Amino acid sequence: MTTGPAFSPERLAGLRSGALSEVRAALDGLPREDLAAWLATPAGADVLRTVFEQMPERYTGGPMDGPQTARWEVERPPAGTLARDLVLSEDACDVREAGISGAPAVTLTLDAVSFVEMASAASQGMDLLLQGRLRIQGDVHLAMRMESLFGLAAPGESG
Amino acid sequence: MTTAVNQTPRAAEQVEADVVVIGGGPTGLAAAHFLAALGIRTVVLEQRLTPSGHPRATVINSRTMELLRHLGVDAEVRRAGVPLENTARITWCTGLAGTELAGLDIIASADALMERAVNSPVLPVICSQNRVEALLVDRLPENARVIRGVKAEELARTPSGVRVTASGERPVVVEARYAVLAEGLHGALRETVGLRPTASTPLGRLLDIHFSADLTPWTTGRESALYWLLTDTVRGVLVTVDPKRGEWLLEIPALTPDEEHTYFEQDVDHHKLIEAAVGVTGDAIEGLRIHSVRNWVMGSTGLETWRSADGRVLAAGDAAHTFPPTGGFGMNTGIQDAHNLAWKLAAVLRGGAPDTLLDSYERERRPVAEFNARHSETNALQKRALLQTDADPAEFARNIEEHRPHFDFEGQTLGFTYDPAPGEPVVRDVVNYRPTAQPGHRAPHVWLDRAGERISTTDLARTGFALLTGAQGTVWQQAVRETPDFMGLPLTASVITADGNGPRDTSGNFAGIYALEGAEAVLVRPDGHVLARLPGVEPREELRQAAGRIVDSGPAPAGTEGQS
Repeated sequence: MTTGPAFSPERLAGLRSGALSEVRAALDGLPREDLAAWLATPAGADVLRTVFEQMPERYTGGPMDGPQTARWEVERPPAGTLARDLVLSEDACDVREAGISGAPAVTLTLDAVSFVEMASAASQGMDLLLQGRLRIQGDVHLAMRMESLFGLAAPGESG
Repeated sequence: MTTAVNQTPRAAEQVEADVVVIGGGPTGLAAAHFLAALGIRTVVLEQRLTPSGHPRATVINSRTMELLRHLGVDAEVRRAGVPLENTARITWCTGLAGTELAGLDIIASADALMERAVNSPVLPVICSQNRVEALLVDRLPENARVIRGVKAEELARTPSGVRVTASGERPVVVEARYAVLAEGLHGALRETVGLRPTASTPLGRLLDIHFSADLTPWTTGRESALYWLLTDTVRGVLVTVDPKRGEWLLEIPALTPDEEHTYFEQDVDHHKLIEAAVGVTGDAIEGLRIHSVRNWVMGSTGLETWRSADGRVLAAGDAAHTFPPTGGFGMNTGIQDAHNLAWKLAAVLRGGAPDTLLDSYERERRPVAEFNARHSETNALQKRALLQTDADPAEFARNIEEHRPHFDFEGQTLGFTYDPAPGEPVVRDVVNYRPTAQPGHRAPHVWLDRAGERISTTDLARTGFALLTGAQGTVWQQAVRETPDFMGLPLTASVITADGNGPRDTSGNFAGIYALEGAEAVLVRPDGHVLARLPGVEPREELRQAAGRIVDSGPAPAGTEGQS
């Protein structure tokens, strides 16, 4: 177990805030390697769990052919992968431990930094995918809708 | 920088530039960007005061998006365009509100998307031409200037280049070393400098209706780039322009002589045509508002030669070639013409290459344009036959996969070569792209790691020539230290290894795709295509010979045909 790099109190507060604009401000100028190392610590894991817990609040929903499970696998070496299943319906998002909701329709696998960037709209999923940082398996159409389902605007737009 | 016309008539303004571009459409504006990025002072003359509001071209393919990425406007183009989730499908139906006949997924699976993502740092996007033009104008650098509201009337030879006289409320005379004619299909200057037009048999007339409406009741859940509509009264295609704002383009070809009357007479009710295409009547379509209507003749046109006899005028984009829109290659081919031409003009103007280098422009680009023309014509004829079919829905759906090359053309987009073997086409496989770093091909994209950031191999030659080599190629770094420019443009050398000090090939894809042996280097041109593979035995001599091959290879052979 490691304590990871030391960040300023303001940056830590921003990362923990859950507010998209504050998270984005906290990410600004932060080297990827440093953030990756910190997200592999227990404190970093807490932030990742918070991001998942806040997802239902951000869910804007949309047409859905019955409930669909989207599995997120967040890699944070040398620590273990953090995975959650998001069970999505037209108007609700339920966050569960991975594996208790049956086979996922789609699995999105990415590193922890990319996950925080995507969840705060600092990066778009398609850019992460093009950079080889995000991998998807399963229903490509559901994967491509993921940001719009959570109301995540493109970088630079309000959100 | 953009200059608007002044209301007060005055004497002609005298302007000097290295290159004057006639026409401020996508090709002309892209030429100004590419030239300015290489330090070439460029003036664009454009008759219209603002970009046309009619969305003519809408497809920005992945190669063009790579070029826009280098100009720093790709993110804005993507934001101004249609999200991928709205464009990854083609739908055939009776009216939009009627029965679905078939669907073609362009990205049918996660694996297909992942495969596509490996080929380029960007994805194609649907963004209308007028929006692309506006973004290109906004981002013009200081050494490029657009003068709007002037009509280029005369293009004359001078001892040092060309003089363009343009009329308007604020007339202007531009003296430049070279002129790029990007005046579009209907420009009048080409013939005055001896560039004679050619045309194939027209494929018919089309009616375009650009309109806004809320069509979500019929599109939600099957969002598509195109909806091909086969109703009893209207057969055509609904093009998605901007689904967020409910903006569409309905294109209806005249399939019979009777339809010529139906669609193109003065009293045609365009609202009724839209209602018929959707398959509903009255007020069922919310917010229906027509913006513009145009009718035009679809076909391929060209020029006997793209370069004037005195060598000072070069045609590009629609001024050099037009083809049917079926495939979406028109605007892309024009922008890529400009990209090919810009570095060559820069090399000549900087004194790093003889004027004969400019002959390679037509020799390389004409076969690509002709391939795109033939492919677009084939697509147009296939779609025309499909629109006239009375096949039952099941048979229709069974045969739809045959139409994939019309809509799924990664091989044509990224895989064309400027150096095909004798008798070989410039594109071997329209649908599938197979990366290769052989001369003539676009240097393949691979992500590299540089100080924690990802850069693409396609980024390494954006402002000059680049030598890409492996661990044993340090001899090239020494060569670049001794000779930091090549053909008048910057030359760099990148030693790419799995774990060295230079850009790191963490995936191993660079080693696999570029397949370098020993000290071998791939010499990449400023337009991203491979000029040569150099063994690294006598670096300076190998560079000299590589330059000689493109400079001395002569003008384009007459009647070049680049298709199989």
